[in-house]
Amino acid sequence: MVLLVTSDNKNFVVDREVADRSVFVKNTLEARGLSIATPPMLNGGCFELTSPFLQVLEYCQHHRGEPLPTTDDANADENRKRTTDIGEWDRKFITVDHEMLFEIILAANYLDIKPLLDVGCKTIGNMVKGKSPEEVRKLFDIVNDFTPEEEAQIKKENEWAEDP
Amino acid sequence: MKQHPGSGLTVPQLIHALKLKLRRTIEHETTSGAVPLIRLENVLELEAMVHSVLLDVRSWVNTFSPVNRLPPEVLSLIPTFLHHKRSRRSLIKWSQVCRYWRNTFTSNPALWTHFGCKDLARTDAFIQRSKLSPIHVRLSPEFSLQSFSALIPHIDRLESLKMEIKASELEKKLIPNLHRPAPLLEHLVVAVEDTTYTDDDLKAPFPLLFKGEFPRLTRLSLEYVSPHPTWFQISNLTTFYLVHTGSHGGSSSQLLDFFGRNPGLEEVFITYHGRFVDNSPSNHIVTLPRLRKLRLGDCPTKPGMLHHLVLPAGVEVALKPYIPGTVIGVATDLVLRAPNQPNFLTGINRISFVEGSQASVHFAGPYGTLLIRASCAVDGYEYDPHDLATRCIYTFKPLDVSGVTELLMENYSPTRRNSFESVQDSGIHHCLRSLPKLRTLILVSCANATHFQALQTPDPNGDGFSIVCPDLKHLFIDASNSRRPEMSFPHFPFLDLLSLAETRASVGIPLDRITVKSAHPLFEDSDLASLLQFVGTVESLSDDRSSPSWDSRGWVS
Repeated sequence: MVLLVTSDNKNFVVDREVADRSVFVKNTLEARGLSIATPPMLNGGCFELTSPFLQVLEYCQHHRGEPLPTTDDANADENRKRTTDIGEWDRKFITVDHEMLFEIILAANYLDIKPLLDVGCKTIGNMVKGKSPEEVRKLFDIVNDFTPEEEAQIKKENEWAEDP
Repeated sequence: MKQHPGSGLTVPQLIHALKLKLRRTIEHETTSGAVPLIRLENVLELEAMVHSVLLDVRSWVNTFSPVNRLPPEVLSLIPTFLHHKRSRRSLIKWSQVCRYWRNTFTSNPALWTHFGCKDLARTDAFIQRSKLSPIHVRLSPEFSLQSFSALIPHIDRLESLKMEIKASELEKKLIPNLHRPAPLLEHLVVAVEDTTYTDDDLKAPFPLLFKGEFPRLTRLSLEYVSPHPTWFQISNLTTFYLVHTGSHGGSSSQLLDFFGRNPGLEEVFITYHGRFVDNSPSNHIVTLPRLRKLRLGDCPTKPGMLHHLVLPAGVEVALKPYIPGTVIGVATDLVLRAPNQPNFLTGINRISFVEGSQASVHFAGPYGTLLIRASCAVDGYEYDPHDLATRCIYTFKPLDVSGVTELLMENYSPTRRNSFESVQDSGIHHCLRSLPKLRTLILVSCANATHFQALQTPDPNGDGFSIVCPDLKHLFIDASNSRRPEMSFPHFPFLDLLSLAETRASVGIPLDRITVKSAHPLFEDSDLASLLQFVGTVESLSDDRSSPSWDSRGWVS
């Protein structure tokens, strides 16, 4: 068993197999020979870790025992990236509001859980696929902040953007 | 907090400073005793400032968008999950969402490494944005010479180059410019696209590109070009495609030497290799220990070539087209050349005689799928099953197909009934008797009385029936693409099917399932009730893409 302490001082006791889904936690434990891992605060301290961490734990519990992706298999990595398919359980798991989705992605990135990071990024990819810049802005509450010069450059870009 | 790039102030500080400046300007004009007057240059300056501040405010507001809390390295992962072609368009669109997205995507070279050469501005953008990363370029018949010229200084960054172009363009515009080394090149495809191609178009051998200096090249595909002999000096390939070399060719010893230099070959595809001379001495043996796929097409040296190759277990061999009398000899020879393999089936997983063959047989291992596909399109002639079985099953019998559990027959129809006197004498019967472990029989466009009779033929030594394929559980009848009369109501041989089901049920080995896929019912509802007395399940699949069908890879939903 491993004790994980979040930045807001919440304790979680989990199986080593579950904790090891996070490469960050796995390496930390292996390097220090410890059974306690304390991930520091994310995003300059304004990140509430407990909430996404619970979700991340649920993901790790579900996928415990599955082989971890290796970093040295370039082909597997390439194949992994060529699809936007998401497994059924993962799809249900990641069906959360935008705020939580991005927090889970941030947590997956920080804790180095590649498969979860993939699921998050694929989800965003599927959300914005085929959408115009304006539609993407609307989806994510983004405003157009380009200078007139940048706008002119973008207009020029659009002349060849549609070519296959 | 984010700072204004010009002044170093934060956005609220900047707004405050702007207000102060405006007030001071107005106060200055007022205190000087004159009518408040704001000069034009001041207005323009203020307007520029306001605009700049507004944009900064907008950028600042964007930092509160949850998606923009993703760091650049995570945000730029998103386009990598799309197919390259689609992601190129999406990338351009997504880089127009806001400054943060634009900076993130355009400053990540890895996202801009795959491109074509149709439009100079586009090619330039990809070249610039990919910075020093290895690039993957595709030249289509519509490529522009200007774009290609922009690429030339970056040849040393090429990791893959695919040229699908006209012979004249290749010769005049491309070859003269591809003479610099390509140290990173791993994958090269040259395919002449002319549909009006003739051998005369390839009078001169296709010269070695990049001075032959591509030390990392592992995948080479030459289509409709006749390679200069220097191409055969290349080593370290894993994939080699040589398609239609026209009237030029070579010798088998040249090709064998080439194989010898490339022991890491995993996939070889050679077809339409013209004027190939089989001049190899019989002791010229080459081992390709890593080969997974070997496909040899219409090259005269095909049989001879196989006599000289030692292939590993599990290799997939395809010979095209089927040449009666030749292939089997070759196959036998392969066994001899693979002394560690106890029999042919474990040495070679699949043999296929494809396109243009009168018959094709797929073996997927001793306990896999056996596919028999009789093509009725060849010269309008349909092979008699007996003839087919003689060619395929009997000839392969020494190879032991007894472990096969699934059999697919497509367009396999006895049209010359008078060529055999009884079902026992039919090819289909012999075929099925060769497969005692068969569990699934798939009849695509070819379910007829003979098939059903062959599974429950009268025992020649008594009054009972000789049950063929005792393990058979599932019968799949796919009539979706057939125009044969027997594949539609009322010509479908239902009584033979019912008899089969009844016979098997009576001896305690009933069929578990019969699946029918057809646009129209093959039998009436009352018939269905009769059938269900002897079969566990009878299911009907709709004749559309959503229902399962079978292809050489297996069941596809």
